[in-house]
Amino acid sequence: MTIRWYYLREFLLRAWLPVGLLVGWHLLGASQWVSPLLLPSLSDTLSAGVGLIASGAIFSDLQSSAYRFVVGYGIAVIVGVPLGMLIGIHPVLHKSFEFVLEFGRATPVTAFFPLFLLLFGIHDPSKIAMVTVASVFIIILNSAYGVYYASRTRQRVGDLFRLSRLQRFVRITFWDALPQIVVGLRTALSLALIVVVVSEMLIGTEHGLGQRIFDAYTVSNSPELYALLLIIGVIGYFLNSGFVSVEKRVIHWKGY
Amino acid sequence: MAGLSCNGLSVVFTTPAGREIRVLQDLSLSVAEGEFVTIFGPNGCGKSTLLNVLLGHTKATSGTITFTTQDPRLGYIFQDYRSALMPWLTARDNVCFPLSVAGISEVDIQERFGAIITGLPIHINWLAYPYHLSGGQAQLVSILRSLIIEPEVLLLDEPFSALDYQTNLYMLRWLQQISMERRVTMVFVSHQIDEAIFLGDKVVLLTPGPATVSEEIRIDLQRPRGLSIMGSESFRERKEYILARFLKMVHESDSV
Repeated sequence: MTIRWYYLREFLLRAWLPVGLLVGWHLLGASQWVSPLLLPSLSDTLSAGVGLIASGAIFSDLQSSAYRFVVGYGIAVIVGVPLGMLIGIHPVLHKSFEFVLEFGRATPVTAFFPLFLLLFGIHDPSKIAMVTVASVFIIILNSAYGVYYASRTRQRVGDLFRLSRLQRFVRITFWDALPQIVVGLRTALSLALIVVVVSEMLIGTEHGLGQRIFDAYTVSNSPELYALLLIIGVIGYFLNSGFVSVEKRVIHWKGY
Repeated sequence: MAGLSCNGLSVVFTTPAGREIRVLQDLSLSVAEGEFVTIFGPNGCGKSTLLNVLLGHTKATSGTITFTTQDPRLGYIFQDYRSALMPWLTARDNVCFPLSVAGISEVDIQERFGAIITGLPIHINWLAYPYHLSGGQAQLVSILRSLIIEPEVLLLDEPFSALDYQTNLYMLRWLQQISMERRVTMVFVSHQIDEAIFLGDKVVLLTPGPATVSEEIRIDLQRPRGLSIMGSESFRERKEYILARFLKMVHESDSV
């Protein structure tokens, strides 16, 4: 009884606000106090969403955005993790790179957008480059910090058991750094999703979630606009929670 | 098996501000093969530095260290067992870590592991990760990790200071047994006078920093010593003697 009550309580604590917001949205729409252009009714939004999915219209957008996201984020991971760890190993490299990395991280990638247009043109490469640049600095910084702040005691354990430099890196430093590396990967993941959508809006494209949102806005199709926001929100939520659940399993020692 | 002797050891650290801090001062000490030596002295006098110099992690500013065998296998037990164990490995894999990095076959590792975990003072779930172990279990894992390489000299830096009283007693009795069975040369730094007397063939009393040997007190109590010996008259006599020397020394250094 107590355990069932515990789970029920946990569920209610998490569910009341989202459900409440939907109900509030529905009531507000039904009351017609707000212009449907600003806030379409919940039922119109949902049917627009169902329409997007049922007609299959959204899938080419999803596919294009996913492609840019996967390639852009993938390059950032493949470049960022090894580079960051290398920088973290050597205090000299760490100090030399610190300013450039912090500068790159702190500058909004969207400010570089005209530069990307010049360098990569208006097609996929410029959007992918934006995603990569937005993600890579965070990944490098966190990977470098992870290695740089690896436990000194465990490094000494490596010396004690006469590990070679390579062994010490593979058997100790890498694992010590992993939790921090993954923090970088997770932060970059959310940012990459934002930048994909923004780059599609800014640069324009034939297919892409950002473009479709912009199109819906241009023709004042508010139900579709809201439906797209909900869809992107759901994707972001599951992407992040999927990542976190894998993270918890792989880095089981984190937080102890 | 290996004994060791150090002659005229001095260690001087220089702070970034250029100030010199003398930690060890002309310290000479010899430890016979298979001998159990406990090092006792005031807080912050340089006991841990002495162990680090013996281990080779800290360079002596002057003086020599000679082992009776060439390049002996050294074990080292850190006071902070939490940061010395690998949290990503199970208790069993932590113990076998030095063998695994040395490329020893899994069959041999299992055999040596099986041999080393008999007659332990406390029960351990070998599939558990270090963060699920109690302090005593974690420190035991850490000691076994050093014992499994069959060290000739084992250096221990206040290994039981964070354990509860009962576990502490069990560990003392077990360590004495290990020392008698394996004839490992032990250098054990302690800030507990009872522990130092119970374990030691001799207690080396260090002066307040910069540390040098104030006196070596031979403990000629018969082995194996039962825990109840700590309540005996002969034990108390030795404790009173060492305590008197210790207090006199600390008092003199305070009044300077």
